[in-house]
Amino acid sequence: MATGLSFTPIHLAGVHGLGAFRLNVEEDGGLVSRATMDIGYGRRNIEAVSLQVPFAQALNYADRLDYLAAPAYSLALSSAFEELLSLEIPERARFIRAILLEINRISSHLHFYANLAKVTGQAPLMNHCLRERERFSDIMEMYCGSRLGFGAVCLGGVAADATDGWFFRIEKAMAAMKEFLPDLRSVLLDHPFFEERARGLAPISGKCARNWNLQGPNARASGQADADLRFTRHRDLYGEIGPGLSNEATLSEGDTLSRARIRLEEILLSSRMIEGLFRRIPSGNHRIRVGIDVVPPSGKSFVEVEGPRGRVSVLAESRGEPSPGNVKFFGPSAMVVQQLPVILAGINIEDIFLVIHSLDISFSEVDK
Amino acid sequence: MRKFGKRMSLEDAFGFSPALPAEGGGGALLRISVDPDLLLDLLAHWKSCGEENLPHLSGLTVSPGETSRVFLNLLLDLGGEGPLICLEADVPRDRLLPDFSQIWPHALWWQQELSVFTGARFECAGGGGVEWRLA
Repeated sequence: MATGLSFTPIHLAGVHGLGAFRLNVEEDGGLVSRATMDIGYGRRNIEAVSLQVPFAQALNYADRLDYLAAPAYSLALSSAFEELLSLEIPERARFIRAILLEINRISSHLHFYANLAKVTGQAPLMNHCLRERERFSDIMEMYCGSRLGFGAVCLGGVAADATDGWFFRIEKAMAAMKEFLPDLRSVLLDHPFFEERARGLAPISGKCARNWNLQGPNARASGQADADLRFTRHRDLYGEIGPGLSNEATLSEGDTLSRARIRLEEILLSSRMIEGLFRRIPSGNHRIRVGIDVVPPSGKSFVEVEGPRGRVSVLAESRGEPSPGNVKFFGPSAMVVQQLPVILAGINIEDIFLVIHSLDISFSEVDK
Repeated sequence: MRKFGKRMSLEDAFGFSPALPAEGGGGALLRISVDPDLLLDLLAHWKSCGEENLPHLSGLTVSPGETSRVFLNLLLDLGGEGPLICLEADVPRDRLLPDFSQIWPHALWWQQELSVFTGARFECAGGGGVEWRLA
């Protein structure tokens, strides 16, 4: 006989590190027979609020949409506004934006491993992951004064110019992180206990990932190599970084183990990208000054950016007024939540939060 | 499965040659207006073409602020280097919109979101084996 289990929005197992949501599970013989989700506990109505403020200020709200991927959302929205304004941003700003995105990706993936370590009972490893992440938070703080990267991207470029001291700190943080990653492998990802538990757990096929629009590392763990915008639409910036730098961070099994391992590959890829960007970053201005009262002509723009969890898309509309006429975000986490009840069906009750954490969902972005 | 490098032609993507606007919005977005009655024909075309020839649905939304009408935006990626497509249809608010999730299953989320927040009505909002509700 099925028993109902309700993981409420204040249940520590699920909420910590993800955001507020409610998971209702029907359990039968220790297995999940049915799962449903309640969302919206953290809804801030960011899209509607963005329509009440000037264009330049709307970016501050985009930053808060997913607090773990602030630069990706503000970059997507600022790029959409810049298209409406027909603004050509300086080349140096494009490079700094790309560096910020990659730093944020590393930081977000380290947060993912901290969550994963916690949910597998590896509390000391969680602290080590957070220690490594702190270095990247320090770098963000050094750049824009916010540890989560709020306000790093602004209309017309980036908030500040990149200095040699900042580059030095990034290199130092990446060197320290690379020393830590073998430990992460041996203690968690390649550990026989974890491998045995996660291999074959809650697999997502490539076809399913494609049909349900799974994005980013979740899609790439299922073999969807062309899901990475950095190597497709934006390869003019990323693709020429260095010889041999292709989208090798792709696995095919699509199970929990693949989803856990792929982010490690992505961290390494991101660090190589940052090194490549350092080598090629041009000199020049980091920003075009755009006033607060800027009014783009009527029109629409749609921009996609590869964030840490996948493709972040923004539709922005101007009606020739000082505030945006329409702002609509399409994020990757919502697509995973949509498929979550199907993914969870049939797995052991004790694996529920391991699977949820392996998908790296941000409920902050789902609720908007 | 269609690879990114190959860009679909507009004729392959829509089954007809759409009239292109004199001026678009942003430089990387191609806006195409379609008659609402054509949406069903488009759905039939997308159903008939295989997975290989299906454009990717990147987003589905309506423009806010309309009282009696819904301005539907279908955001499509045809792959390759060309612009993204915004297929626009101006439909009366009380009209039942077609179910895009029969072509792109993930559109279910956006349809449900639009039903909850804007009152737009789709033939199949919610259901489909995937359940979520707003707390």
